Amino acid sequence: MVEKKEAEISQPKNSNRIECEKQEEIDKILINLPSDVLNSILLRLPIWDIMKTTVLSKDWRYKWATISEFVFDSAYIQYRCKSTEAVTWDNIKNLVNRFLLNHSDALIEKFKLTAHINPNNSDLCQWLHFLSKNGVKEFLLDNLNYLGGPFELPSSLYSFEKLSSLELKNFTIKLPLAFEGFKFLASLHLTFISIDDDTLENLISSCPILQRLTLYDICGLSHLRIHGPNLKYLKVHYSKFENVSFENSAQLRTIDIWLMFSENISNLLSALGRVSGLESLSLHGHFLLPLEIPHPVEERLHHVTELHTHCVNFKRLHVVEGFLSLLCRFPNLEELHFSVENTNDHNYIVEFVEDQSASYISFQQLQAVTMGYYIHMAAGLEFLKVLLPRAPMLEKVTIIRSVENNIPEKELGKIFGRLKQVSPGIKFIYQSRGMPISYIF
Amino acid sequence: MSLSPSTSKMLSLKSSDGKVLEVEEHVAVLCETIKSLVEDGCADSPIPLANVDGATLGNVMEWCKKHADQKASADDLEDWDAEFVERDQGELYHLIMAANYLNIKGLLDLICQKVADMIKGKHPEKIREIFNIENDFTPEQQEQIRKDNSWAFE
Repeated sequence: MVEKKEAEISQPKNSNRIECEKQEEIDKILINLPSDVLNSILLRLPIWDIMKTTVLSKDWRYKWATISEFVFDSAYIQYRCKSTEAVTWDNIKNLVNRFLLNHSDALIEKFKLTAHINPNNSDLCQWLHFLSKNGVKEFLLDNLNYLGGPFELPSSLYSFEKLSSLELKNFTIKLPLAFEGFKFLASLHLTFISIDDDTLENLISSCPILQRLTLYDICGLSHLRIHGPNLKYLKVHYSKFENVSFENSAQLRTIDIWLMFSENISNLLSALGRVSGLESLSLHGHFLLPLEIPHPVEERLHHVTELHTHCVNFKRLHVVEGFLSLLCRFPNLEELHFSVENTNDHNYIVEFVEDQSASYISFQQLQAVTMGYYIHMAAGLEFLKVLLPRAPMLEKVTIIRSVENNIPEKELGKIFGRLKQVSPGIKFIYQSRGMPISYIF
Repeated sequence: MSLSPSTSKMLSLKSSDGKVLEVEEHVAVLCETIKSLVEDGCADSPIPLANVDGATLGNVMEWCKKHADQKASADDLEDWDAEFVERDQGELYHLIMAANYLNIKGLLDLICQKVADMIKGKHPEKIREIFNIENDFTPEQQEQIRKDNSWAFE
């Protein structure tokens, strides 16, 4: 009897002990995780949540500085704190120094800093020197200091050996004489960069495996020379240049260009004609407005199967003509994506069609068309009426309104009914923002 | 070589506390550690897994079974995973250690995300409470650290 009582008492005690051991083990659950697992957890958090761990306990005080990536965007932090004073250069300096200190013999995978940088910050020079020896793979430096104009980057940036992705914003690029190229660079993204023709060409051609090149707001260019044997994707937006040429760019498949001024569109199209592997082309900007595109068309881009273009202003006759003859440059076009500028005025299109001057135009391979519009789709619809009878293979036309739909279904039925009359075999799809389903006619 | 369910044979897995679990091979090989044993022909029967207890091994294999099911849609798996990680910290800890040891990237990512979500947006006091972290700072030290990076605590 007595024995049994003891057993009854000892049992819960025992299980309590196990519970306690288990609890102790779990108490240090986070800090005792293998370092790569803890790294993987912390990398999923925004920088402010990572920094909050500094006050948890002494074990956690500098844990943040052991993670493999440093990503700090002071613009976003200021926005989040609703104060431009939220982060000072001293704050940033302390963080970066502590982070680098903890990585004297540990690899840094990624270093991304968006901050107000002054040309006389000697810290930046030291950091880049450290990072160039560390084998950083991804590097971003975004300078928010726009008042002083772009300044030159410390030359140690150009000796980062393992870099696979480089993104720079608001600097002047001048390559040091000893620049040996970025052997592993696959992606280069330059925004608001001052650079001259030769430097850019040298930079691109010194990255033998470069696949993606994005140029935004580049100044100082006159002749944009692209020389990238492995380049697959090129994006050039809002950058002024007079001439463009492509050499040794046989892998280039996608080009996206947003013209800023009245660049020489004919020269551009001729240059693009020499990119033998080009499949998808995006051309945006108001290039159709002041420029006449010659017709009948001499030079054609036979290999391009996909064309994107934004904001076509059908208010003017020569834009209608220009747009159609631009399209004629792509005899093998399979997909056309365009958006129309917000105008309800479509008299010129009607006039143009009645004039019958467009009889030479046809799109033998065209299979799918997407038309985007804002409020008025009448001009776009008139243009479709020009296009449809000239595209015998066309299967699908998608119309997308970029704001919420306000057209009742019955009205849509009427609109698409008229298009159906022109081309009964085509599937018409209508979508708009915030609309869960599409209308199919 | 792909292992389809129809040709899959059974593997015996032995946990640290001596429990033996019979698992279909195409399920067990979701663990890279087991996969390499099988591929190298050294999958003794039963395979001893010294770092995983029986209960955790059962949970891990439940996850692997679901993810080896080729009929499961991505949406279905997402919902199932969300329910799977609804566990207490102790179980999550054992699962994360097992996923790390058995080298199951999908499961490890899932639990790391779950733990990150348990920290995200929380007050430090709450994080200490969730993970039983003892605050060994003096109030003054704590105040100083907060001041150094006040932007993070806004």
